[in-house]
Parts: sequence; structure tokens; C-alpha cells
Amino acid sequence: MSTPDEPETDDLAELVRDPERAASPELAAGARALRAELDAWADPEPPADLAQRTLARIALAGASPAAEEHEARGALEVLTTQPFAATPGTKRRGLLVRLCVQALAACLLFGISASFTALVYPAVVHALEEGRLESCQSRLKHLARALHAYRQDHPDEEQPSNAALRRALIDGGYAEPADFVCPGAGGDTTAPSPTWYGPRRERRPARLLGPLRQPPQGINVVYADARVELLDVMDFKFKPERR
Amino acid sequence: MLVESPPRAHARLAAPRTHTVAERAPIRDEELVAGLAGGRAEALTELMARYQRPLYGYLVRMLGSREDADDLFQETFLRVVRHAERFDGSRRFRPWVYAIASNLIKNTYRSRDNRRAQSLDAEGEDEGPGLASVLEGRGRSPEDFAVLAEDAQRVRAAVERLPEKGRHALVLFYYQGLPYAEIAEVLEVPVGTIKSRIHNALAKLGKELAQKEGAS
Repeated sequence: MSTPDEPETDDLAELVRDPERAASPELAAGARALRAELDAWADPEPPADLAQRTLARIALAGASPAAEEHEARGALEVLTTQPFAATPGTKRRGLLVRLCVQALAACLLFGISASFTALVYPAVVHALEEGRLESCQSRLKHLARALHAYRQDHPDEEQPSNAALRRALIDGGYAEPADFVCPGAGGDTTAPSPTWYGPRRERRPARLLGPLRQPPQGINVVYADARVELLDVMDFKFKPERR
Repeated sequence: MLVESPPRAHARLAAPRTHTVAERAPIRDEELVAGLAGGRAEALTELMARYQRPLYGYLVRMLGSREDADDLFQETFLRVVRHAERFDGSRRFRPWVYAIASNLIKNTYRSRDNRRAQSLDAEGEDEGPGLASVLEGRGRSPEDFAVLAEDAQRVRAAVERLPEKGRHALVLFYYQGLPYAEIAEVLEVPVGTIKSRIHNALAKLGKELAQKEGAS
């Protein structure tokens, strides 16, 4: 027999399957409602890059010798690459760019010798990719400076969550929503949240996670002079804390 | 004795995690944690692959915000790595990782409450804890709240308004499919208390919905 303090084990699971078994109208109503809610509930899909960003965060959160090394070299912000979630508009733009490049390549193919085209086409593609990379790095540097300025203005503030930090940067006029969008491989874009971590135990310079390009998968370290270095994420060894 | 997972109300909820994990990889979670303690990055990526979907779903369900869930997912696994060496191999990994996530959720609630209190103090008016909590604490805009008030969402909103302890137990039992014994480990209370909390949460849910219907 169930008591208010300790209902029988199977009762609660059964109750939602068959609400009419409930001992009280409130319980039956609750079970019916929950049944409907469970039927309608869909587990949200995690972001495609969640695991990679988690790995990067772990690697750079003091659990890695490489993180200490970069800290010692004056790393100001740390940014990661991640897969891009394409938006329809940007995907079309990316497609257009690709089509233009292909058309140009085709013209060149017919107009100039094949050997000359073979030299030019990869160069054009490379130049486009470099342009996207530069544009993205420029935005990330801007974000790094925005974050630095924000922390100078709020030295005693408790570390906010990523989402709260992003809102604070935008609402406070430190950054624009567009700063969080980076051109990626194929012209795709994404709008990441910065991840600010590391300074919980000590007030170290902040770190920021964001996208740069894919592939390769890596971690971009922005130094105090706004120089950006792309590092291979697999360079980081995951080492639990020894106690 | 191993307690069986509760049967879920919906086939979609019965499908994930346990069965797919067992089919995909015979290595036990606890063995992977041991590998992680030895510095094997592959063990970490495998653990994340297994728990990414259920844990992220749990965080979204409890926090009502994908961005906060994203943040706490990362923080949860950061702590898993940091404390892997201290993991007791005779225990199960699942309640351990859920316990880490649950503690982070509680911290987030506390931080939200503090911000709400400061915000209300600053404004010098009391909007009522429920509304303030939903509007600010859940990271939702008034438009989102209006959507929640729609008929199709009213049950979900009512579940979100349940007291924290009851909602925690209810979500872990019905949405995550954890058995009582594991929920008891996660929330660090006796199994009887877990059952009682779920029971009371269901009754409260029914009562609140009945009142809403009566009022409308």
C-alpha cells in the first residue's frame, strides 16, 4: 500500500500510463497532463559543435600543459574553430561565390591554356578562403578587445554565463551582434556565443571561444597584441588533476 | 539490486541512451572514466558522445535556455575530467555525471535568484516571484512567455513552475528515465523522498492546471 511519504515503486510510472488509477482527482489530472506533455516533448538537438567546444574548453582550462604555456606567453583570449551551422541566406551567398569561381575557372579553361588554369584556380580558391579567414579573425580580435574593455569596466563582476556575457557585450555597446558572425568555409556563417572561462579561481585574462574555420579543427589563440595563432586541437592532452 | 528504469510514457523517450549505448559500445561508462583518469582523450570523447543528447536535453529542460544548457554541459564535462581520478569505480557513472550537472543547475538558480533580487530592489517594486523568475530567470523574453501561455504549452509552463526539488525529481524520472536509486544518488536524498517528491509534484501539477482551467 502506498503512503503519502513512500508510494509503491511502480505506481508513479504506471500512473502516467494509466492516469485513471490515481487516488485523487489532482493526481489524475497531473498524470494526464504529464502524459500529454511527454508525448509532445522532443529532446532538443545539441549544437553540432558542442563536443568540440567542450574539448577545447577542457584543454584550455588548466587541465593541459599547453594551456599553461600559452598563458605564460601572454595569451589574452582563446578562440576555437568549430563546424559551421549554415543559414539559408549565407549558404546561398556561399553558393554564389562558388559558382562565380567555377564560372571564372571555366572561362579560363576555355580561354587560356589548361596548365595556366591549373595554377590560377587553386590560387583563387585559396585567396577567397584567406579573405574569409582574415575577416573572421578581424571580428574575433574585435570581440577580444570588447571583452577586455568590458572586464576593465566591471572588474568585480562575478563571471557570467556565456549567454549572459554575450548579452552584456551587446547591450553595453561593447560589441555588435554582427561581431559574433564569422564567414566560414564555403561562405557559411555562424553566430557563436563567447565562452569566458578560466578566471574563476584567479582573475586571469579572459578567454573567449568562437569559430574561425573548418577544417582543420583547432584552437585560435589571440595574444595581447591581437596576433592570432591557429593551433591543432589534438596538441592538447587531457590530463585530470592530480590530487 | 539494480533497479529497473521506469517505463516511459512515450516510445521516443524510451529509445535513447541506455539501449543505443549498449549496442554501440560494449565498454562500460565506468571503464571509460578509468581510461580518462589515465589521460586517454578518446575515453572523454566517447563519454561525451554517449551523454551529449540526454544531458543536454536535461539541462535545457531544467534551465529553459539552450545557451545556458550549452554552457553547463561544457562545465559538467570539465568537472568530469578534473575529478575523474577521484571517481569511485564501484559506483555508476550516470548518476555521478547527473549529480555534477544538477549541482551546477542549482548554482545557476541561485545566481538567477540573486540577480532577480537585485533587479527588483533596483526597481523598487515587486512583480511577484513567479513572473520575475520566468521572465528574467529563464532567460526568456516577454514574447517567449506569451508563447508559453498558449494552450499547447501550458502544461510545459506548469511543469516549469513546479518547486525546484519536485521538478528535479520529476524530470529525472519521467523525461530522463533514471531509476529511483540513481535519482536518489543524484539528488542525495533517500529513495522514499524521491518517490514522495514525484508524487507531490504530479499532484501539484494537476491542482494548478485544474485551477487555471477553472479560472478560464
